[in-house]
Amino acid sequence: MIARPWRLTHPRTALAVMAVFLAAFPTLMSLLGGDVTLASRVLILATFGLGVDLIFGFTGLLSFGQAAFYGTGGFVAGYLMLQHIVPNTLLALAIGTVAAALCGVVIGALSLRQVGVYFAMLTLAFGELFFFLENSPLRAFTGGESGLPGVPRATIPLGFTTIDCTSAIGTYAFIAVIYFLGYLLMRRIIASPFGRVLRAILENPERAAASGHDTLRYKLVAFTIAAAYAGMAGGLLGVFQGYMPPDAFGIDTSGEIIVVTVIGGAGTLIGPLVGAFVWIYLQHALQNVSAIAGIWKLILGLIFVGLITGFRRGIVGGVTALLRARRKRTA
Amino acid sequence: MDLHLIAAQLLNGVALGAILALVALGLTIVFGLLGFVNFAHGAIFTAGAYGGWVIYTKTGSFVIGIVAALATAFVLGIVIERLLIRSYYNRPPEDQILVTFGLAIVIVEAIRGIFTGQTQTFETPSWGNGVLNVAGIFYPQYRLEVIAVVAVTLLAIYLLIYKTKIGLIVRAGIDDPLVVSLLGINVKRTFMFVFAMGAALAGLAGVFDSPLLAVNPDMGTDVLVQSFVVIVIGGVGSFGGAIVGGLIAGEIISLATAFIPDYSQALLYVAMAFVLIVRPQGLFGVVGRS
Amino acid sequence: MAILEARTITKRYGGLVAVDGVSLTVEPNTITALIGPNGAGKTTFFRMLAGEIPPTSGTIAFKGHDITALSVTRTAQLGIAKSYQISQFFPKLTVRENVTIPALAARRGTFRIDIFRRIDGVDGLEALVDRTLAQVGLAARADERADDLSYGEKRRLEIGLALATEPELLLLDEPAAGMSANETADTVALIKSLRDHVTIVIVEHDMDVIFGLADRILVLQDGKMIAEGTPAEIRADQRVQDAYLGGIE
Repeated sequence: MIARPWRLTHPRTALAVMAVFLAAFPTLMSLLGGDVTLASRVLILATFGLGVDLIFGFTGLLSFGQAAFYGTGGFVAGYLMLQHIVPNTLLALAIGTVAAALCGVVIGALSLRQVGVYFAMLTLAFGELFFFLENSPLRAFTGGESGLPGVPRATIPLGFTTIDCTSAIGTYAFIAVIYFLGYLLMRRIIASPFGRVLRAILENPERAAASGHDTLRYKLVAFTIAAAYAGMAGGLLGVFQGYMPPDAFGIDTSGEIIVVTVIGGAGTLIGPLVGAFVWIYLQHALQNVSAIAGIWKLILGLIFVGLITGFRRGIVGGVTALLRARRKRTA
Repeated sequence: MDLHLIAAQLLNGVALGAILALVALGLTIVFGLLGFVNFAHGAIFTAGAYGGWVIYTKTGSFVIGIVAALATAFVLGIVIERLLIRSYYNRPPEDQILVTFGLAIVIVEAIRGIFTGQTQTFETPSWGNGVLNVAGIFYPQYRLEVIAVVAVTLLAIYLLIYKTKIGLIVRAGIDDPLVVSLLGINVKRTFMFVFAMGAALAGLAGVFDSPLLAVNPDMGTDVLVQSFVVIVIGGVGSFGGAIVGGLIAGEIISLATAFIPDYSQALLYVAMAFVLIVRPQGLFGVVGRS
Repeated sequence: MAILEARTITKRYGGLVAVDGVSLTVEPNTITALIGPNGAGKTTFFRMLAGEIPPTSGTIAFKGHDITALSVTRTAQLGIAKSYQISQFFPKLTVRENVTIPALAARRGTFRIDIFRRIDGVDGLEALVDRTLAQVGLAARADERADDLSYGEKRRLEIGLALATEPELLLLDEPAAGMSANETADTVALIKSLRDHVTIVIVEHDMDVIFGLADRILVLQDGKMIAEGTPAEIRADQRVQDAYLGGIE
């Protein structure tokens, strides 16, 4: 996995490009036969994926339990808004994010002493644990198998006025701004000294430790940050759909975000955005072609296997490598 | 406390545990011997179940269905190993997990595409119908038969691995592939055989479980995760561990379902997390196994 | 005061005794060599000095502090760095980025959540990296990917990674392993250039390297120390001659 976002493009250019893209995205989606709600879905997954890329693409931690944090953030925020305990959307989302981050600290502390397969299995177990807790014992709060309907749309009270984001495009704008801020923050994290150490842990964890870094604590902080991003994404899902689905905690969700990140390109930060676009758009587009409607997942599964086997860097990584090769030839 | 209820649940736990032990054995053989994690193990379980179902409904014979399930899973295992897995033995564990995870998606979605997502009925075979009186408890006959057949299968596998020349070659090949290949034995073929055998066990468990579970494309997901719990508790790479772990897991689920149903599934994962944190090598595993 | 004092270090693996009561005192700004036939326990002893494995018994003191049970991370922070026999670097990072990693630990300690800082906001980082690259002669190759380097360059990077932690004690595990005569001479020159800044303990098989560099030599065989002294004393020592020439190596 190649990860050089801090050298590839000048930060201001990259951010400007991202801002322009986000502004144009709904239109782009409409041109492709979709609509703005699809664009919202993509960004929610992409927010989720920013965190996963941090721990997997940049630190090498393969967690199969990220849905635990996605669901926690979503249900905490959704419940608070639904029950009018915290009617302020941003505040509720923030609380959901913090709740998810706390779960991240606990699960991370328990899991990160293991590596490789054992770590994957531990996170998988915790993910399933959260799913089953949400399903039964915590039914009263989470709605069990029915989920949590009636989550209000986003509004931002500013004291003198309230910004209404309840329309589809308003919801998109709300999500897009949050994604942009999340992307901006993640770029800073990756480019920081902290981020460099994570990268070293990815390449050679023993050497990173022998160089004098407390790798366990670095991993724990990264894991917590990823949990926070997952929690925010879950909260956004509830706001977007007006409903929190129980499978937000499910193993399929955990698997899906991994697939999306790898297809788009792990270690590139925009990989999850690209992967989410491919995932959601393909699902939408193929649904209307009755002959292959049911097998969009099969196709993506094959692409996924192919990418891991032959071409590990995903779509973004592949494009980057191509551009670099062309630049070398013309230089 | 209702003794009959407890006894029935204990038996349920053994039946469930027997199936889990079978699945886990296939997983642990591949994981422990080849150092390879097969996240597609649940998908192969499903493929075996469907293979068995197709032939069973066509022929009406459960026994032929069992053979079909075994064959489906075994062949699938050979194909996967030959085409894909083989190039992954020296890749980092994350890659192995990802590729088999992807394979699981491919297999399950292919099944869904061919058979639709509908749940298929799998009739209990005629010789499995009915209820037996076991020491005063009336217990479904089929489940007892499952326990018996699985026990025989486990014994057969044990003899194969530990008492035959093939098994010796397999064990030696895993311990020291270089020496074994110098002795003129084809290590690649050995690995392929081991992988396919693990797959066959999953397929067998799939067809056995079909009258008890619903046959649908997603039936393998829960089983996969549960078999991870089993091998973690029992110890990776341990034959006895898969069996004991399976029984423990089966009993946890079974007894919890009866007495604290809300927490029955959750308890299993608590147990797994507990073992991984406190004694990562499991009950019978060996520390330092790569 | 001695910079390193290892007292009766023993390492047992079940019934096997890999290191048996070895003691070593190292004076500052000297070069000490550990030699011995294969299986003598040199690598195991070295690993205990670096904090990779704990001794079964015995103590290790660094500048008067007990470091016997410390991890590699803490040992590195205290000032002991090791260069590995098989190069352990960060393959996909450039040479400069490689050296930056231990430099970050030297400048920032074991852990800091400086997620908002810019990399050039770390005091003295660039100076340390440049200095280290110059010391090991890799300044010209700074922007190459580490796994594109030649074998000799990788060995130099290996030493650079240890140097970038700003150690007071440098442990070199067969730095000249697998090198040609020219490369070996370069390595010896490099080590000689370091002796004024760092104390060095070196494990080597190449006798020319050892006798050209070492102030003191410690000879191990079967986990035990069989001789210790200046190069001249060791050369003349009958037990050493037996160990090396008596059919063992």
